[in-house]
Amino acid sequence: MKILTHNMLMCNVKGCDKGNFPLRIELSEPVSIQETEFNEDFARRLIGKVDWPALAETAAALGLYDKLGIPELPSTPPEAATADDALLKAMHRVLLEVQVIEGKLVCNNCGKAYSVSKGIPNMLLTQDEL
Amino acid sequence: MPRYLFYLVHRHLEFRLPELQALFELAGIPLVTHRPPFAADDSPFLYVDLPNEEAARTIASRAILTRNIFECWAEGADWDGLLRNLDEYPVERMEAAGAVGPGVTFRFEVEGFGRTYTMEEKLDMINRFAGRPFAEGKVRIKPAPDNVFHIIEDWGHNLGKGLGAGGAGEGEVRRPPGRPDLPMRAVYLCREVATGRRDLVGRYDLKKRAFLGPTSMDAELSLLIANLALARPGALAYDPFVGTAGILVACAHFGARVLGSDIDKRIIRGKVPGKNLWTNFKQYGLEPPVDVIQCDILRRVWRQGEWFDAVVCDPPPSRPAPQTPVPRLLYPHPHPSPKDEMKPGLVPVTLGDTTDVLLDFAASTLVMGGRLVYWLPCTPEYEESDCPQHPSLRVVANCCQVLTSKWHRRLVVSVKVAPYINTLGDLLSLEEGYIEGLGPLRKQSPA
Repeated sequence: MKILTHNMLMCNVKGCDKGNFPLRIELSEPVSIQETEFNEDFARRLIGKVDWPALAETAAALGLYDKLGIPELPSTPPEAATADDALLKAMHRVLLEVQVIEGKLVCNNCGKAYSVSKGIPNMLLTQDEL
Repeated sequence: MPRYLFYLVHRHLEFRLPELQALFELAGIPLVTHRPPFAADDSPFLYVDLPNEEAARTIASRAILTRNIFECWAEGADWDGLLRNLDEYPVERMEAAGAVGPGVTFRFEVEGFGRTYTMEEKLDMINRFAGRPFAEGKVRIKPAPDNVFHIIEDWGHNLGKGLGAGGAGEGEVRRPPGRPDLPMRAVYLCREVATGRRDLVGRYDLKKRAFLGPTSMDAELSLLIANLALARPGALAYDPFVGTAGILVACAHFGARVLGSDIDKRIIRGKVPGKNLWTNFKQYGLEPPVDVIQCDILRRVWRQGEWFDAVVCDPPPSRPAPQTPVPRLLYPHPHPSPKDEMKPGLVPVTLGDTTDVLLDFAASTLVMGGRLVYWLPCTPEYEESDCPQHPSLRVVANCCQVLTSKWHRRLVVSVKVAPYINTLGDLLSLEEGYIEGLGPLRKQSPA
């Protein structure tokens, strides 16, 4: 699971509709880094879509800045039109090149834990959670 | 503006114009078409305005249902008319195309729409142009010559109805030479400007695909879906019924980043180690999906936001009946074989359940101008009003494919034209409706 996807996912347990984002990542295996093609347009258009406080919090919690050797991302949305190459590339690396392989996504509100196995998050619920 | 002759593929007839519209939108060129004077209604020949040859090559570079784009030098209802018209075509324009001069290389191709020819017949046709200024240079087959001229006779097709939605394969529209069922409609002499991408249909042929499932989407249709979804570099495309990712592979081919989900983990991971959804991307050297996650489209797992440039999918044709014991999942097997439709315990999805959720989902998660492209199962009795509508989406294309005499499906292409309006009300109560077996829950969209 990429950090971009993490930034999009929320808890879907019935009745859990406040504080259900972002889900807390609990790793049981270190994240892996996989290079992917950088597309400036794609990165720039993500600026308005990403939740920046959640992104900064997650990146710091997983120690991604040290791991990737990049400066910290802002916790408020930068201006999309004027974002420079360095920021876009840093976004690209955090959002699209970091991969959570094994672990859990835990809802800070209801405590529901979604498993991430072999890189695939399982967002399904059990019958009593529907 | 210069006018070019498009020679379209005589398949998936209802998809041809929508594909061109999509390609022209991607290229930022308004689509203006003119019917050739001698062409019939269902003709594969179409004149289209284009600013220049480079634009023609841009359009052709991802066209699936366009064989060739030509600069037409002359046309006629018969050969006399063609040759008379060719006399009037200015030599300066042939020179401008770099087609005149002793050192210029060229070759001829003879094609018949609705006919095939013997080698003698082809040579006879080519020889009718002997002595023309553009036929003074050297003939060269390989390497590619400076110019390729096409002589195309249009005999129409005589397969009648039923061909309409891709029934006949490429090249199947032919009759034995010399069978005078119908008179020739027209004959064209053209210079080749660009060639479409029929080769992609072969490259992505499912027979050569590493990882397949029972509902993998045909390569040609996947490529068409990717075009209709305006898949392009910088775009994000999402398939909520990803299966073996047939549609997303096509989207990735055109440079889009892709994201998929499915309720069934077995489909995503595959049964055989080393053969799974990701293998298909690796096989073609494409960027792998951003992610594939396991979730139920009927549940809100995506945070509210305009994430996707395209939502593309082939929703499963049936779902478990509500009374079926469901130990864990709402939909334990979303990809049943077509036969499952007949089995007890499964009910076919009717217009109005999954489709309504899909439309609402797309309306809320697409960017403005983003596209939803999905298959809608229907019967031959389908009427325009059966197509589900959403106030935030506008249907821009709706192309029928005939599957059997009883089942058709339509590829519906919608564009998000207005900010999201919730048409489902409380999604949770809707789901409870499913579980308790309250039957189809079709809610009316506000007018």
